[in-house]
Amino acid sequence: MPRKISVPATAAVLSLLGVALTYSHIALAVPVGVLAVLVAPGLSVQHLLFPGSQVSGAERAALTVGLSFAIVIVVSLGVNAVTKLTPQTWSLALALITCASAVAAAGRTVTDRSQRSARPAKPPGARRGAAIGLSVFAVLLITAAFSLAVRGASHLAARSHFTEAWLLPSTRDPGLAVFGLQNREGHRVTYRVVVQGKHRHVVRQTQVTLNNDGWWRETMPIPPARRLIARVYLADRPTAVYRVVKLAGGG
Amino acid sequence: MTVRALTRYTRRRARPDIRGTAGRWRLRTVGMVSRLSRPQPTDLEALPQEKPVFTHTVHRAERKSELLIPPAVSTLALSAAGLLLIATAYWVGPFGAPWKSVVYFAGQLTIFLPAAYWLVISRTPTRNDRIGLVVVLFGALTATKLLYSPLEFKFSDELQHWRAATDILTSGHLFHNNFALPISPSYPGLETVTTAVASLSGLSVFAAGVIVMAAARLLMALAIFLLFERAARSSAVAGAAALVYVTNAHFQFFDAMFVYEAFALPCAVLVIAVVARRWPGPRANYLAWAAVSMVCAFVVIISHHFTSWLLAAFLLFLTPFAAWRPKRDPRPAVMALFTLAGIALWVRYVAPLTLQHASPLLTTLSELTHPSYAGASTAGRAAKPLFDQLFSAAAVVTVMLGVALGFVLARRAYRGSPLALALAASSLAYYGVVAMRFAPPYGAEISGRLMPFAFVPVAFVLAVALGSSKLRRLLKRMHAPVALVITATIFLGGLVSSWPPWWERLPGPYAAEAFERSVDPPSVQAAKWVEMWLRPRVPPSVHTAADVTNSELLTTYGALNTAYDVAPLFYARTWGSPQRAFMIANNIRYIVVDKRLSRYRPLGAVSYFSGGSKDHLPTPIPAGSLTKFDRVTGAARIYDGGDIVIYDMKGALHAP
Repeated sequence: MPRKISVPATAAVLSLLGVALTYSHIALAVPVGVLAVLVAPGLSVQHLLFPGSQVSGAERAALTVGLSFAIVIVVSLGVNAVTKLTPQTWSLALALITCASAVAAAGRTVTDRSQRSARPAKPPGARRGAAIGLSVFAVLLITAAFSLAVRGASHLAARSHFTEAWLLPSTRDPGLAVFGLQNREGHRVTYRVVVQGKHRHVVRQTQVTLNNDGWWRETMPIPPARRLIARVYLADRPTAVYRVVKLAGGG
Repeated sequence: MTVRALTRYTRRRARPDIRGTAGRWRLRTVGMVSRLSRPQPTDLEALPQEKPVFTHTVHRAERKSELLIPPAVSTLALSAAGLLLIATAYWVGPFGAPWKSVVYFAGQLTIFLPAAYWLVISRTPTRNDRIGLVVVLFGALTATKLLYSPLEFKFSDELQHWRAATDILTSGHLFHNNFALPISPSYPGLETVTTAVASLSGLSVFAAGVIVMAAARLLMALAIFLLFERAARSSAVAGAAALVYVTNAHFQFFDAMFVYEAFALPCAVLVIAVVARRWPGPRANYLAWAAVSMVCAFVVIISHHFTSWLLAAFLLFLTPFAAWRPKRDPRPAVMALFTLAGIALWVRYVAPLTLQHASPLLTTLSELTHPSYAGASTAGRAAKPLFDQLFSAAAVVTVMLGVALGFVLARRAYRGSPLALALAASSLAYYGVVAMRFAPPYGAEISGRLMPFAFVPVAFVLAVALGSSKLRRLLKRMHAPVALVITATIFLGGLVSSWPPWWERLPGPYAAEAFERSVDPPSVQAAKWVEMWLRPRVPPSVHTAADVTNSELLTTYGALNTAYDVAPLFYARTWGSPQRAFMIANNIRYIVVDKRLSRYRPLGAVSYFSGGSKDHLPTPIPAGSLTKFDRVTGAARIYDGGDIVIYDMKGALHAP
C-alpha cells in the first residue's frame, strides 16, 4: 500500500477501533483511546488537506496534534448541542470525521501522484544500534525516576493517619440519621461507637473493626428532641474520645 | 553536467551582458541555479537573502549527521539521568537532607546544559537533530513537573480545571457552574479534549489531563521551532531560540500544568507559524492553509481568553510589517480580523463573564500609569534565600541587556522578514512586563502570567544576540563558555523565581496555607466527603466558610460555593450576634475548621484567609477561637476527621 494512503487508512482504523473498544479492557482502551482522540483525526484531515510533500515532518506532527485538538473541540460543541457527550457519541463522531477525511485523502492522493516524497534513508546499522541502545537506557532511567517519584509521593501521603466520622440527617426520611465511619489509619482498627440522645440516653452502642480504607454506615432514628451525639473510641484507648459528631436541633 | 558546473557556466555567460532584459533573465537563472545547487531548508518562506546570524548552519540544513549517536538521543539519556536526580531530590525532600537542593539543581542542569551545548554552541546538528533536541528538552522539563506530583493534581489552578472536566465527564454537557473559577466553563477547550480522552480510554481525569498536556507540550515544541525557523530562515536560530524560551520563569511548572493557558498557547503559536508560512500551490492548498489557521485560531478563542487577545494583538502588530515589506501580505490582517470577530462573538454570546474576570488586568494597567505604583507589598512573606535573589536578578538583567542587543541585531539581520521584525519589535514589551511586577495589587501575578507570552519574541532576539557573529568575534574561544553561562544563568534565574516558591520547591510535609504543601489527605478527603454527602443537599446559593486552602479544595473536590473574607468568623474568641449577622449577610451555612491553623503559621501567604484580612496578624489562630463552634447552641458537628471538622450552623443562625 502506498505510504500516503496507508497513513490516513491507519488513522481510520484507529478511530474505528476507538468505537469498538469503548468500555473494553484498559490495556487496549488506553492506547487506542488516546490515539483515536489526539492523533487519528488530525492525521487524516491534514493528509486530506496537504497530500503532497509540501509539508515537512515536523509540520505534519504539529498539524496532527493541533488539528486533533481542533476537531475534538468542534465535534464536542456540535454533539453537546444535539445530545450528551458520552464515550459512544464521542467515538462515533470522531470516527465519522476521521474515516470520511481518510477516504477523501486516499482519493486525493491517488490522483496526485506527482507529489510523492521520497522516504528518508535509514541510518547505518551501528549508528542505529547505538541510538536504540541509548534510548532503551534512557527509558529505563525515566522509569526509575517516575518509580521513585511515585514512591516518594505515596510515602508522603501515607504519613497522614486519620479516621473520618460523620452524622447527617437522611435525605430519604427526615426522621432518620446516617452515621458513617471510615478508617484511613493505614492499618486495621477496632472502634467502639456510642450514640446518645437527649440526657445521655444511649441510642446505640457497637464495636466495629475496619481494615484500612474500610467504611461502615448505620442508619438510626432521630429522637423527637432531634439531639444525637455519636462518640467514637479506639478499642485500645477506651476512655479517650477519638471522634465526636452531633446533630443538634438544626441539622 | 553537475549543478555546480552549470552555475559556473551560467555566471560566466551572464557577466558580459549584465544590462538589459537578457542580462536580468540570466541573473535570475544564476540565482535560481545557485539556490538549486545547495540543499534547501524545507518549507521556508522565500525571502530575500540576508546575512544569517548562525552562518554555519543555514545551508547545512539537509545534510546527514555524521555523529555515531544522534544528539537528541544522547541528550535524551542525559535528560533521563537529570530526571532521576530530580526524582531523588523530591524523594529525600521531606526528610530534610541538606544536599537535596544541590541534587535538584544538578538534575536541572543535567537536563539543560547538554541541550544548550547542541543548540547554541555546536555546529554539528542537522535540522532534524535540532527538532529532536527541542522535543527532548521540552519533554524532559515537562516531566519534572509530573515528578513533583505524580499521583494527583495539587496546584490550585489545576484543581479548578479538574473540577470543570469532571463536571463535563459526569454530566455529559458543557458549560457548568464552577465556583472555583467561574470563567473556566466558558472556555472549555482543554476540558473538552481531556474528557474525550478520559471517555474513550477509561483513564481518570488526572491521567487524561497529563496526556493532553504532554500532547500540548509536543505541539508547543514543534510550533515554536517552526515559528522561529520561519522568522530567521535558520534551524540553528530556531533551535537556540526554542532553548532560550524554556528559560522563562513559568515554562517548567505553570505552563506544564493542567490549565487552559498552557493548552491555548501552543495553538496560538501554531496559528502564527502557519500565517507566517508560505502557502504555495493551487488555490485549494491556499484555502486549506487558511482553514487550518482559522480552525486553530478558533481553538485558541474558545480555550483561553487572554491568549486569544494576545494572539489577535500580535497578528495586528504583524500586519503593518507584512503589508510593508517585501511584498504585501494580507494574511495577518485577515487572521487578526477573524480572531477579533471570534473573540467578540464568543464573549458576547457564550462568555459574558470574561470582562468581569479581566478587571484585575485593567486595574493593574491603570495603576502602572499612577505615579506611586512602585513597591508591591510582600510584607509578611519569608525572604527569599540569597542564591535565589542573586540568580533571579542576574537573569532579569541579562535578559534586559540581551533584548536590547538582540533587537538591534535582529533589525539589521532580518530586514526582509516581516515576522522577524515583528518579533524583534514586540520583544521590547519585556521591559513593560518587568515593570508591571511593581504595580499593585495584581502586578506581580499578571507580570508572571504574561511572561510565557512575552518570552516568545524575547527568546528570538536573545538567540539572535547569542549567535551573532559580532559576539563570536569579540569573545573568540570564550564564546562557547560565555554563551553556556548566559543561558544557564537565565535558566536558573527563571527556575528560582517561578512556581513553586523556594520553600516548597521540593515536596515536604504539611504546612499551613502553603499552597501545594497544604493539600494533604485530611483536607482532600474532607472535600471529597463534602462532594459525596453535602453537595446533593446544598443549593448553589449557600456558602461555606473556610481558610484559603480548604476553600480551594471545597470549591474543586467538594464543588461547593465558598465565602470570601471570612477571617472575622474564625478569629473571634466567642460566638455572638456579630458572627451570626455576618453569616446571615453572607448566606453562610457551613463552617470548615482546620485545627492545624492553631499550630502552624501561614507559610506561603500573609494570612490564613482570602480577601481583606490585613487586620489579622499571620500568627496561629488561638485554639479556643477554632473550637468555639462546639459550644454554639444549635450547631451540628456533622463531620470529624481529626484535624478537619465541619459544622452545619443552620440551627445556630435561627437559635434564640
